[in-house]
Amino acid sequence: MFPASFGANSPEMPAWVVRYTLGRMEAFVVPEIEWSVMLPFITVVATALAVLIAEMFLPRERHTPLVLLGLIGIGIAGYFQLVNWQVNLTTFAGTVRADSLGAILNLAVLGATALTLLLSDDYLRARQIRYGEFYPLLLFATSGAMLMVSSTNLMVVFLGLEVMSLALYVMAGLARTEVRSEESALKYFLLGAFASAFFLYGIALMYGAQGTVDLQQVLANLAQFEESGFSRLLTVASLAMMAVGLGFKASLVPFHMWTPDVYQGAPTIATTYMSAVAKVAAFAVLIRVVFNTLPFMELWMPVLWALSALSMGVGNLMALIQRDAKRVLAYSSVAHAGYLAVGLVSANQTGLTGMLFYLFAYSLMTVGAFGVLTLMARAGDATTISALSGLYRRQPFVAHMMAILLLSLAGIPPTAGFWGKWYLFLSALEANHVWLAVILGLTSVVGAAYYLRLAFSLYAEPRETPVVPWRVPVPMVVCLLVCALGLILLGVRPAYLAEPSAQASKQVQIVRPTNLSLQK
Amino acid sequence: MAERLLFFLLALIVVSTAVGVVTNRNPVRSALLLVANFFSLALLYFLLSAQFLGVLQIIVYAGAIMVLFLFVIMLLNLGSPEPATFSEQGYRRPLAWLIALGMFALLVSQALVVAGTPPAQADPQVGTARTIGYALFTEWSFAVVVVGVLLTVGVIGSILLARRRSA
Amino acid sequence: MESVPLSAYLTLSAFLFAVGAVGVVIKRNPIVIFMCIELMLNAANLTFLAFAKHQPTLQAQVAGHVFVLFVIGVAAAEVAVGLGIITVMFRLRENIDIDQVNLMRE
Repeated sequence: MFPASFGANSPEMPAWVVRYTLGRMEAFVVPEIEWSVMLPFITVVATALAVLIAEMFLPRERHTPLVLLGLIGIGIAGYFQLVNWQVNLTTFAGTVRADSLGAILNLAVLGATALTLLLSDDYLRARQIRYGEFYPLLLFATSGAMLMVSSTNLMVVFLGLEVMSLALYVMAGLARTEVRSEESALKYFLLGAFASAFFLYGIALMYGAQGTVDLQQVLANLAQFEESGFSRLLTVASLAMMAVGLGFKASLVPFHMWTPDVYQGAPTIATTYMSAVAKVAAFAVLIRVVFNTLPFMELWMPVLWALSALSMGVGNLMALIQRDAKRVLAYSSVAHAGYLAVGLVSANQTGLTGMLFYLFAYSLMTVGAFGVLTLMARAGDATTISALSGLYRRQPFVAHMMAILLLSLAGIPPTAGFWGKWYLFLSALEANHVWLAVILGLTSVVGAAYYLRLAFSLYAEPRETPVVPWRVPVPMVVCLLVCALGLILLGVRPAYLAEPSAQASKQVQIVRPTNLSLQK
Repeated sequence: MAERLLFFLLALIVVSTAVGVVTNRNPVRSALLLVANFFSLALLYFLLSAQFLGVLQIIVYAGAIMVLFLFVIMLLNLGSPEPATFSEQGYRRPLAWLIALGMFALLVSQALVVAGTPPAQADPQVGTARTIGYALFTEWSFAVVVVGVLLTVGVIGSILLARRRSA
Repeated sequence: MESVPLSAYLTLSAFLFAVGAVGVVIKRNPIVIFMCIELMLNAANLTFLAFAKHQPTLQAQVAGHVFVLFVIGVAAAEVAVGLGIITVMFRLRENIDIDQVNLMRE
């Protein structure tokens, strides 16, 4: 009844298997560990612990050393990740995977973390919520996201998801004296835990169907053996449950209800971080799941198609009628989840390249855009569009940078946002999903409307006169410059990112349904 | 036969207490029913030859976690019954039925698929602490480290949230 | 002694999961909603153990048990953070009816 494919019966044992003979426990193996590929994760966790300890010894008001320590740690981790760029292996008894796809997404996660760190001290001071525990939580969340990116073992992915989510729940509730922050934390927590339960049940069904929770093993099972109907149906149910859980985390319609409320209520610095990192991590898992179960694509496809089209439509239309900039960006994040899911639907090399490119570029855009909103903390943290109007008069530099970021979000050349959409558009055409490509194009036009409205309001006449110009903190200048110039650079020379992305996507084996016979 | 009878009894308790948790108005009663639910689940784990986890379920879940729940309910004085049992927002009720039926249909259909699987005999050493310990410290050693990180995050988070200190 | 079929366990855990999911949607007290989420996690645990018994090798069987152990750890961490958030929320507002947690709706 079970496919005779797993456990000791499988014809090829992976390379890490070393028989462990002690008493009757010979079934267990000692994992061989490739320490070099573990280094980025280890560095981030070690940095988090170091920051946690340093925080205890520092006077309460001095957070600059913590930020610096965090940045150094992230830098080292990024270096290790860059060194590992060409690796393609699985280590630690199959629980950690190092490949180029993971390297690109990990670099996006690390970059978003570093940029958030730059903005955080100033924001926390302006809001008077200077809790030193914020920094270790941020770094732990990063380590969780990195695990989600670089593991194909669903149980480890689940643990990484929980590490990231728990830290994010607390960060959303960081402003403990404000009802709206706590409400957003409560909402995020209850719905997030609900979604995790779905994901977990999906893992349980996968374990029952395939005898393993390692996606690579699952793919091998699917490719090598004629399947019994039994394990096929269980696998489909498992995929459905996991889609619900991951849809929540990636805020795909109809699982997006929490996104605007949480994004708006949480302290802006937490929103900045979660909008980039949670999205990258959730999509990394979606990519791994979808591309390792491609033989089921004919069943997946209509579901993903609907999720993608709905997210693009609902996200963009709802963003049109919002009056708060944070809510506009929240619905825009829903819409971007829809654009990204186009790559999953087309499930080809171009789609994967496009997703990697867009995820990297999107994390720059969203960190920058929310980063500008953190500046509003000194004006009572009002983020309505009318409060933003006339930002140009207060702070011309910030307004220019924000305009570039908004253009990139709208997908207008010469910015990286355009190329991301372009690759995804091409991938949809390549996979013969013409209608999806059309929806992508049309909703992008709708999207451009509200981004441009927001951009124009920055240059409008301010309501209050005389205008008091703001001093912009140096870290924010650095952060905005990195985001905006990076996006323009990638817009002018997309190959700098597109080529590595294409290389990474070539590492992924694309097993189309035609390559194997699901029908007996 | 005895095993089937035992399973049937325990399943009955599990089902009725689970329904009780949801339908009961009083949070304290819900919590106590949940303890009963976890306890009978632990006994089911024994039937599935998972002795170690059965014990752990009683100690950690029915013991520590539920005590924490009850403690918070008492601390916050949430023990009074809810004004109305269920959420008043109109759309939730049909949504709930939809979810329930869809979920149950999906999952039961899975159960029907496996009906007729020959009953398996678990390896006699599978549920012991020794075997699980071996597995934890060989194949799953990395995941154990990650659980350590997770618990650290939980500790930092709850300290940050619960401590009475202004910034 | 005739043992219990796998499908019986799966049906039981499906029921448990569905009851938990319904509870999350219809209950108003966040603590009770959280309890319903715990029900769902336990349903997943029961599924893991039921499938574990039917795996062919010791290694694959124990994997299911190990997963359950991890889930118990995850649940403990979730409870710490979740009850923390609920406690803080209650300090700010006397009544934490989930229907009223939508101040931010426009």
